[in-house]
Amino acid sequence: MSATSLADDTRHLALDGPLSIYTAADTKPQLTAALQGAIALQIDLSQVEEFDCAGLQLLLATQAHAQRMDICLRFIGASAPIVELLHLSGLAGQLPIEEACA
Amino acid sequence: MAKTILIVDDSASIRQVVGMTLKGAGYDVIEGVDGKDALTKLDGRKVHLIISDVNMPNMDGITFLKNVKQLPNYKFTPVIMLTTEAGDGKKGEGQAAGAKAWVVKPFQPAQMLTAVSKLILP
Amino acid sequence: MNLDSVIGTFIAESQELLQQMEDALLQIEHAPDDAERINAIFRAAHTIKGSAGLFGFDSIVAFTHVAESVLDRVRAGDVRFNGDLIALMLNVGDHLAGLISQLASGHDLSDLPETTRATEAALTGELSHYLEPQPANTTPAAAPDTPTPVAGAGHWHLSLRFGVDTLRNGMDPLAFLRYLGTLGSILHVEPVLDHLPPLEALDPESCYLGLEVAFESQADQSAIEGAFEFVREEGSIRILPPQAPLSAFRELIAERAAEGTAQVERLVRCGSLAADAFEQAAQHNDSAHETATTRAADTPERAAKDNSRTSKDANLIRVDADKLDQLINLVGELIIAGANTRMLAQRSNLADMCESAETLSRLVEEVRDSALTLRMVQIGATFNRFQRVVRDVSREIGKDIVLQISGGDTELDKTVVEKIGDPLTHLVRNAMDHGIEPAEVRHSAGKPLQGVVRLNAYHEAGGIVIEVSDDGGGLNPQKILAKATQRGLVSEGQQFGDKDLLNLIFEPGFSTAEQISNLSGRGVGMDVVKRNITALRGTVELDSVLGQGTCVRIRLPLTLAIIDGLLIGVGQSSYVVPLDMVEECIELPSAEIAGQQHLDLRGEVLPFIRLRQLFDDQSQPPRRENVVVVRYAGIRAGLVVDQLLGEFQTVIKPLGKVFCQVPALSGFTILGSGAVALILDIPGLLTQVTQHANTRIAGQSNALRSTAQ
Repeated sequence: MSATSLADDTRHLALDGPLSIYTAADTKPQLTAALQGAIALQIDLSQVEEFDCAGLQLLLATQAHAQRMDICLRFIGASAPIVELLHLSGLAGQLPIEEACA
Repeated sequence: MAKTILIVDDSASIRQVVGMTLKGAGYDVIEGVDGKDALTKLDGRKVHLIISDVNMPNMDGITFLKNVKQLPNYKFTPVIMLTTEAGDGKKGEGQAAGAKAWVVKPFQPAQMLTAVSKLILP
Repeated sequence: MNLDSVIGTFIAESQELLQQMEDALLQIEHAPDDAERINAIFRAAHTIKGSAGLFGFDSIVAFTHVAESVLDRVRAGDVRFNGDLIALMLNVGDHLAGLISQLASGHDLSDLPETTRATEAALTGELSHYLEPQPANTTPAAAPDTPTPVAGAGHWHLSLRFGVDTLRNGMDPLAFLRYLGTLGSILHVEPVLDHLPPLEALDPESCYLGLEVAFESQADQSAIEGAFEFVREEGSIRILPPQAPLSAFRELIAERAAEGTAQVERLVRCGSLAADAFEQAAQHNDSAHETATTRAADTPERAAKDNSRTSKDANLIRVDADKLDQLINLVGELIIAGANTRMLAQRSNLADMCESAETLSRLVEEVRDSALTLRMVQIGATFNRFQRVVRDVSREIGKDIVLQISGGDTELDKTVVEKIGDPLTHLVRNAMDHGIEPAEVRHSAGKPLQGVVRLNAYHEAGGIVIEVSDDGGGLNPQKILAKATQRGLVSEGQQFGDKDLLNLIFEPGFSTAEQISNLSGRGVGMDVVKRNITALRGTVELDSVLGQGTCVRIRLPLTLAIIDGLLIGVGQSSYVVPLDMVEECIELPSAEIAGQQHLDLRGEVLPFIRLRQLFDDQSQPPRRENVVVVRYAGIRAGLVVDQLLGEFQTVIKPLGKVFCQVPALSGFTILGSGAVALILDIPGLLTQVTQHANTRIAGQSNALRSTAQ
């Protein structure tokens, strides 16, 4: 997990491993910190190996928060478990995830 | 990888039949002969579901469940409790400890498979 | 699924439980309130009922249920054990035992003798006196839901809100959707995010998500409702069958009033409710809807499988492993005592006495052999488990691999079988992962596309050999040397034969896989396998032909308890060499000079070890010394000793913790005279010999030397 700031004011956060009920309590502060005072935030999900309802709720709440604070939030790099769950929950449209670019 | 299920029951025949049923459906199965033994099986490996009898020697199912809820790697593992008729007084105690899935003994192998698939598919 | 293979377990288990129940009943006479014992009796009945249900023995379930209910009342303190109840429960136990033996002899429970039926009826009648009068509601088997019958495929609407603790209880709302997918097809899902709080107020472990689902299925209402049985109590699960009346939707919308028009819109988007239907709903009358349809009778496939059972099960006895261990221990003591008697007999010079002692020894030997076979199990069951592993792994890594098994009927000690599973798993996975090449490589090498992994077992020289082989790419010795050099496992310029090179992969810290995969080759690997096998007093070696495949050969002792040994003496001490590793004994040619490390055995070089030096024995060597030539796993060496004291049956006792690091010893034994003899670890000693040889040839210091544990 790492957060870096690039010159263009876009913060980067990469989540990896499980994003699930087991890690939700630890992940929330990281999301909150990344959002704090951000102008633009890009969250890389390509390394997320496990994804469940708890993870989904966190991403949705993060998205809602960004909208409220007018932060430009982009999710990039959907891993297979994320794609499956978004499809299953009918949220693929609401939570768009862009292709990861190198 | 197949999902792993821990079955805890002091009856070898129940473990065997449930084990056969679940393995046949594509799950991996590990066994514990009572609560105490089962805790030693929670040694860091990923376990996706626990099936536990309530009335067992050495450590009963409710105490086992309470212990599981203390283990950081397992506390959110779904647990199916095996119970006798719904009137068993242990059910309230188990529910308080977080057991929401109950299967009434005696059950048929297919019933167990159905109950398991509701929580996790292989 | 074939339940017949486990029916033996059920029979043995029930018999054991009935015995426990009887014992407890007999004891409870003296302490009628002993809660632990009451629970033990209850549990016996409870377990028999549970298992019988699993096998579909409904008559046993029904009868045991009544007894269990009475025992439950005893447990609750409503009924107390007295002479009558104990007698009744003993009869209940006897009756159950009769039913079980009926099963054990391969009979069907449906054709019980009339007397047995009468007994059962009488016992049930007596038991019912102890039960509270209650509405005839003692149907034991589960039939919990009485469903509203609705038939035909159609558009179901599911409105799901989950309890806040759902995730904490290990359940995932989305998992229920996956399960629904097995009952029909999900047409549309509308996530309900109305209850999701802002991030700062969100409890990451609470469940806020709701779902509206349009679902098409042939399943009946109980099956669909059943999907949510574990979350029904905490949440709000509403299921509307196809063509549900508008009033049902009205009720649903009223119940979800807090969600406002968003909920109505979701119903419309699901296609469950026509956009204009709701407005018209007010004046709609919907009484004519309930179309009752016959539900397909769900006859479970339990049927009458009971009679096909063979009487083979009845010939099996389950024995506590501890009892067996105790027996083998006692046989061990018997052997020691027998050896003592024989020694005394020889000393007494009485011919009759000697003859009698010989007979005794022979019988003891037979007793030993048959006691040891009690612990022997076939390795086939262990091998067969790998069919599944190979099937799963080959699918996962996308290689077409088949497992071939041979020698499954080879027997070895149960303890060894139990412990060999892990190393075998590792080796099999290694073979699949790194051994078998990808299809395109196999194709260009002209090999069949389907890779083969083989498990084989056979007996050899008092031990068992297990082989894990594959027809994959094989190992390149030069690559291994390069890697080992890079890892600092060998020094630059050291010389090795190809076989020695290959076996470097068992050194700690070695991993051959260039690509680390998810299954094996994470750096822990062959060294762990080797350690596990060494702990079983076994050895492991590897053969490989580049391009043709690899074979890992594990050699294990048949048993961990008793061996035939050759007793030898050095100074005042006695040692035992396992007899099956002894090739011959010769006199040490006097021409051999003290400093030399090998002798000429009929033209062949034989390296040897002086036990006197090895164990730092300060005593003077005798004028004539002997050499015991031992061979293990293809390596031969000589042990220089003072005296050969003859064959000796040895009960292996493990060494204490202090000594288990000593490389050349594997245990100790007590001689007939009461003296202690140390058992030499020949595989360990031979490893030292070959390593000495290697280091000498290379003229290097002992970079490779490791202690054999």
